Amino acid sequence: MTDDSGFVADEPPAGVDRPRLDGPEPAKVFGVLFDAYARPLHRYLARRVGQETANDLVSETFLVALRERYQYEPARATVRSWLYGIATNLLRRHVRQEVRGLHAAARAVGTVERHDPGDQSRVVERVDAAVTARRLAGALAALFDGDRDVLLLASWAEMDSVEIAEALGIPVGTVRSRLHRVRRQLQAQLSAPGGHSEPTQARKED
Amino acid sequence: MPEHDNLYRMWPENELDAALAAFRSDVPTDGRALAAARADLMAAVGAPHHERKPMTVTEQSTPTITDPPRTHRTQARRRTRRWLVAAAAAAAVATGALVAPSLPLGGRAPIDSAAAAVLTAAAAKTGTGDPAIQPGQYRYIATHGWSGRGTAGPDGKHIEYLSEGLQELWVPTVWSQQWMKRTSTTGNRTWIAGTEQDAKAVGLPLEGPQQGPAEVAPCGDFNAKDDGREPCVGMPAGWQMPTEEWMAGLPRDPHKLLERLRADAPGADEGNDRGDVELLVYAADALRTGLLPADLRAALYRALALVPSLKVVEHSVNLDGRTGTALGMDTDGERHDILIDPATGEFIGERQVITRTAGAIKPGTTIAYTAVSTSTVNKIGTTPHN
Repeated sequence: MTDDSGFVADEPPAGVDRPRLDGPEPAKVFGVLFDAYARPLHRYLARRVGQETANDLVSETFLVALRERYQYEPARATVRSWLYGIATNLLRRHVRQEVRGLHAAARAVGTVERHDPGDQSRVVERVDAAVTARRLAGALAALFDGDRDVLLLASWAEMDSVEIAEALGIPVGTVRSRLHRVRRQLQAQLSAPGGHSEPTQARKED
Repeated sequence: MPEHDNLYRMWPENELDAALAAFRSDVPTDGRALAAARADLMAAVGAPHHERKPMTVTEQSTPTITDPPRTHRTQARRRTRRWLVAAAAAAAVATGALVAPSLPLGGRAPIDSAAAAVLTAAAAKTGTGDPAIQPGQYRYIATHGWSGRGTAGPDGKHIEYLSEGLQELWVPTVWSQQWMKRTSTTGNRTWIAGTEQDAKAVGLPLEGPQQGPAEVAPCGDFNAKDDGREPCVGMPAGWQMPTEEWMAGLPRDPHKLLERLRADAPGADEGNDRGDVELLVYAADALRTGLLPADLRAALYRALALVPSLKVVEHSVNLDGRTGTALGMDTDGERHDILIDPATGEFIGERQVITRTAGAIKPGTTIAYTAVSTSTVNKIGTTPHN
């Protein structure tokens, strides 16, 4: 190794989203990968299991990727999908922590108040947002683990069905049907006859 | 609250997306942690064959690669969780909120002698062996799991109920033969915050009775098809999904078994902020399956007797009609208990109890529990009652 300390992220690896990872200069390739994907990956993971665990998971994801680089087949997945697939696998060890966190969020004591002397409509909006977040947390906690993966890869990692299929190693049709089902499920759960008309009200000004 | 009818209105797509987009959108990025991760990566690139890497890493895999042990375990866990293990696992309180572990992972504290005595006595009772089962008969394992479904009302009021799920498993005397599994929701529920009326007012779905299809598979390998595997070949195995082979490979010496449990359960470096509670959770995962042979159950009790933070919480707890001693560990506002019938040494279930007010839930409230019972039947698909 000549450049393991003096690496500079100069150019993306050839093939950009499907680079070869088995070349002679892993330091270069992996440096570029890290700089391109670590930050959004960290954000995704932190939203799921908290920042501390995300710190570890990002590090582990890239170390696993490095170790498994010869198994990466550019034809089968973009490198981003592959990395999120590794991260999703690692995340499974933290499912309990994630679900606990979601339950805790769902039953968090409301810290917001409705009797703010200031702008009343703004306060109501904040209350609604907090309530919505709690309801969403409860709904996310109740999902099957695989469904939650698909939903959050789509929503938070902004992946399309093909990328999610690549990441999880499942057929794209399965991803689509899961996504459809889980969205229906959440919409049904979050919708509230009468009681939850607030999202609409809160948006009337924009 | 505005007036409302019972019209079931779906949330519009864009509002779901907006809610998802807003959820925890304020997570900070830790530049220093990223820099450290990058440095680790670069060091690993330079290192001769990855000796520098943490142990967990060498045991990981990716979705496209054949499975090392750890992947088996995590898959097994995921699968197991697909149904009511939610009960066992879910609900606890730690917010992922990233506090340093409050319990010693190394176990410096003295062993609780009362807990050790209960476990040792249970091990002695258990050690005599499993009830005889004739060729052609099946062991029928019924697992009733109660887990939380909750939400917040528009006024912020916390609403939560426990919904009962039932898993029935028929295990042949020779494991390579056909098993059957049936999961259902009974429609039974108990309210731990708010009322049914509150739930209806905010549109929280109330789970009604629902019978799942009966699945049949040799070796209990119900996921082979999903995994694209031949049944019984390359089966995932672990604490959440014990196979005969995996169990045969576990040490029966209590110290060695505890060591193994510690190695397999997530450690502090894997985001475990609940210390030794995870040991209990893993042990309970395995015990809850009802598949452990007597010698292994006994060894596991003796191993748990060595865990210092495990305490006798309550004698004579009634769980789904059976009475046992609760042994538990407490972290961060929630206690995880296992329940053992001292008369027989049988594992009768587990529960999670809130120990610090959480929303509308008061300390002492059970927020999830699972009760297991095992019997023998003559035919697959039949229950002891029919």
